Amino acid sequence: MAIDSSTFIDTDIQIHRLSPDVDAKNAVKEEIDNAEYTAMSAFSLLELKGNYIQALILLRRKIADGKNIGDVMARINNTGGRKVTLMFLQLANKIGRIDFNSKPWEENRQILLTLLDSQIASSWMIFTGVVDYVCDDFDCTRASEEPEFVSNKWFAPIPKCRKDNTNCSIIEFIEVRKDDLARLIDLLGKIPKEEITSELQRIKNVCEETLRDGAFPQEKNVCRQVGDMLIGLQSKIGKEILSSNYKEHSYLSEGLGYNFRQFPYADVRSK
Amino acid sequence: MEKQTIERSEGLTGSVSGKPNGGGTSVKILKPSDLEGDFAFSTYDAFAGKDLLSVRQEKQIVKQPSRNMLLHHERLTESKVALVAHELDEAYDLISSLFDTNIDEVERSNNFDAWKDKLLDISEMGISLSLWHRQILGGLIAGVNEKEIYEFTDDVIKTFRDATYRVRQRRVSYIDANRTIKELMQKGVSVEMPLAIDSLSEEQMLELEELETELAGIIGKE
Repeated sequence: MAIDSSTFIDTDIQIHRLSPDVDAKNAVKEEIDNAEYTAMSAFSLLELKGNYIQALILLRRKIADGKNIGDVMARINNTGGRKVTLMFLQLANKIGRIDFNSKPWEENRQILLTLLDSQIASSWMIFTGVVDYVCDDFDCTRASEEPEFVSNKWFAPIPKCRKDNTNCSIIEFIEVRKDDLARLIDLLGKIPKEEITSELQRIKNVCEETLRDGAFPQEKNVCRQVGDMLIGLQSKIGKEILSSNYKEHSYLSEGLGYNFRQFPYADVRSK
Repeated sequence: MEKQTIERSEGLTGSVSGKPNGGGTSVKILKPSDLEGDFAFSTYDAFAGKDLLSVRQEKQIVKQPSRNMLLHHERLTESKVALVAHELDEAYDLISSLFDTNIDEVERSNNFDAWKDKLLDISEMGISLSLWHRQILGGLIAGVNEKEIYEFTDDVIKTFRDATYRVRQRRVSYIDANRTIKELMQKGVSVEMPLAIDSLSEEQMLELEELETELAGIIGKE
């Protein structure tokens, strides 16, 4: 495959792929099917782990520990919040066999656990299996750590990066792109303050710190704060990046010099 | 380790630990390799909702259970293993029958639905299935959920058959499970469940809220 003709799939596109919204899901599928080649950043795996997979694991744990449906709902509400409650309802709603009214909780629970175990165990493949290429040009250590099943429990921790637990090359990756960072700082300094999102502001701060101190502040664990920038920079080896995240990518792409194509999520989703 | 053989249909055999025919049961130390990926040796206790033995995926740590616990678990496991093996055989027979030229379209359709039901029956048992068995089983359930036989080509159905055959094996490894999921994905089967609820339409939200209200009613009666 020719990587330079690849469409990079941003993290949010992977999330739309897993949306219950059939229209949005089909629109993503069409984009992927029609692209000549597709790629994703390995860093997206880390973002998905910190968000979607963590929610699945929390849900799995509450279902495994709950004595009955009332107990499970209370545990989910108390610790997972509305998002995980809705995930649970969605899962139960999708499987016709789940019946909390007449079926013993244990049988419902076993089906739910089977499905969640399968989703978590296959998660890496579910995300990487839809693209032709996974770009990992700064060898993110955290992105290589799949969820782990230990003593019948799932774990997907994202430990803080230290010298002894990390062997990535993020500093070298940024080192050769300092000119891009300087251009981005310049651009962000010119746009109206009300258009600077909190993520753009964090990115600007990290870029300024990098240029001031001479190296990317890896030891401060800032990678996840500047995920859009890192993924955008990686996408430069491809043709474009597809994302519904207009607020950040519209400015980042201009400053860093990559091609951003907006996925029109608001238009394609069911109302 | 001595093994008792359970006859399964089509001449395949499964095995459970312990001495044959009730001739006294010895307490033995189970090795991690006996546990992981092997439904006959799974230690998951569905009723207690936890593992009786702690098993680690790679660097496995096995706690020594008490003698009584092992004996109880062995008896429990033996009957469950036989039941799961039987159900898995039936699931494989059903999906294989779709390639039988002697059955008509109606029977074919019914057998496909029965196979889908059987997958759920097996997952309901939960106990005695290793993580890797459950990974494939859950992928199959997600892949055929809310779908009918006409939505799949014969080529895809063959992949379902092969995946069912793999779940039927006494031992399933991490590699087997991942290979199977990959094969399903390559055939266009959606093994993923649509659980990313970051933004729901009004209609979808109403549907889930209705279920939540219904659940609140059930919980109130508990």
